[in-house]
Amino acid sequence: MDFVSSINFLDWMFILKGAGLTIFLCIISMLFGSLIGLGTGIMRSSRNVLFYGPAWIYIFVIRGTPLLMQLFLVYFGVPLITGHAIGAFATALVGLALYAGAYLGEIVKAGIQSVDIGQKEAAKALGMNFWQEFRHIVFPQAMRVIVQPAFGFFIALVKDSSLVSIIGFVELARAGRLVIARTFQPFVVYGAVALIYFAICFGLSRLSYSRIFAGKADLS
Amino acid sequence: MKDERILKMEKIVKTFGKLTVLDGVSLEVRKGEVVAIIGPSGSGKTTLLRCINGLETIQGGEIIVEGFRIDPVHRDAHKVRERIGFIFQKFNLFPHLTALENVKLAQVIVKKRPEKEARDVALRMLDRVGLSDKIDEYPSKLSGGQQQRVAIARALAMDPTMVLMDEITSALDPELVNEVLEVVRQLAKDGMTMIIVTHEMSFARDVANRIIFMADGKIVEEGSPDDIFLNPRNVRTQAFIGSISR
Repeated sequence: MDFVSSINFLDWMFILKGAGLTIFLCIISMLFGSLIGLGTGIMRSSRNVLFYGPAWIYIFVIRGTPLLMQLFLVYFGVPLITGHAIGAFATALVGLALYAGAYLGEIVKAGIQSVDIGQKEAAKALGMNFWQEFRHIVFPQAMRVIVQPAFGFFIALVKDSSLVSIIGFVELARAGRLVIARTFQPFVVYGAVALIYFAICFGLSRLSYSRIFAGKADLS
Repeated sequence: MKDERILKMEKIVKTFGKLTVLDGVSLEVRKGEVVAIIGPSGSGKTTLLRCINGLETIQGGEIIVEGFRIDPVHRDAHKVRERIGFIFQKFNLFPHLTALENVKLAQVIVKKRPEKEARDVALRMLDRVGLSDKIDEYPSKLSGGQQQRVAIARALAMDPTMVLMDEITSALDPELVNEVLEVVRQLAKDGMTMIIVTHEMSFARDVANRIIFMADGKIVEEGSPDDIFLNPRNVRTQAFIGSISR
C-alpha cells in the first residue's frame, strides 16, 4: 500500500472551508478589535488618568505578551472564572479581538494626536462639544493617518490567526495539517494554504488603497 | 451706541506654571464697540482673548459674557462659546470640508439649523466676505486671505454677539492683508462687537472705537485711537508708539 494518497475533492473542500473560517474569524475579530481600539485610542488621548491609565495598562500587557499565551489564558482562564468552557471559536475570537484592540489603540491614538491642536480649538470655538468635535473634526482627519498602519496590522492578524489552531479551532492552517496527515503531501498542501493566505492578504492590501479610505481632499 | 454690556472681565489672572501672563486684567466691552488690543509680543494680548471664550483656563478673576460666567471646565462651556466668534491667526479651517461645508457644519450640529437654512446662511455669509465663487473649494485650494475670509464667514454664520480676532492677518502675505481687513471694516460698519488683537496699527486706528495698550500682562493704558496714537500718557505706551511709527 502506498503511503502517499492523492488529494481528493473533499480534501480541497475541507481546506476551503478552513479558509472560509479564517476569513470569518478575522473579519469578526477585526470589527470587534477596531471598536476596542477606537475606545482605547480615545482613552489613551485623554489627559485624565482615569481614562488613559487603564488603556495604558491594557495596551502594554497585550503588547508585552505573546499572542499564543493570550489564547491559552483565554481558553483556560474563562472556564476558571465563569465556570463555563467557551468553544474554540469563541476563544479565538476573544483572543484575537483583545490582541487587535491593543495594537489598533496605539494606531488610533497616533492618528488623534496627528490632528493639529488648532482644529480642536476651532471646533470648540464654534461651540462643539467633545463628541461633536471628535466625530466631525478629529476623527475624519485622524483616519487618513490610521488607515495604512491599521491595514498593515490587519494583514499581520490574518497570518497570526493560524495560531488559533493550537486551541483546536480548525481554520485554514489546521485544515491543511489535517489533510497532510491523511495524504502525506506537505509541499502541495502547504503551498496551497500559503497561496490562500496570500490571496486574503493581497485583497486586504488592495482594499487599504480603496477610494473609500482615500478621502476627498489633501491635508494642507 | 447702546449702553449694553456684553463682556465684563474682572481682575483676570492667568499663569503658565510660574510665569504670570495676565496679572489682574479688567475689561468691559459694550454692544457695538470695536476694541483693539495692541502691545509688544509677550504682553498677554492673545492669552487675554483666548480666556474670553474659554480656550484657556484662568487662575483668578471672573469673566462674564452676556450674564453667563465663563468656566472652561464646566460641561456647558460650549454653549457660551457658540455665541462668541473666534478668528484664529492660522485660520484653522477644517481641511476635509469645502468652504461651504466649513461654514455650514456647526450651524447644523451645534445650532441644530435645518440643512437647507444652514446652507442659505452659509451662502449669504460667503457672499458677504466676497467668496461666492469659491464655495466648493477645499481650504488647500484657497489663498491665505481667502481662507481667513471663510473663517470669518464660519464665525458669522453662528450669529455671534461678539467676535474675537487674534492677529488675523499675521500669517498672510502682505498683498493679501487688505482683502481681510476690508471685511473687518465692513463688519465694524455693520455694528458688530469685536475685540481685535492686531499689529496693524493704522488699521487699529481707523477701525476701533477704543484702543487698549497691554504690556507685561497688564493693561497699561486705554483710550480713543487719537489719545493712544497722538497723546500717549504712559511712558511704555510712548515708547511702543514711538518704536512702530519710526
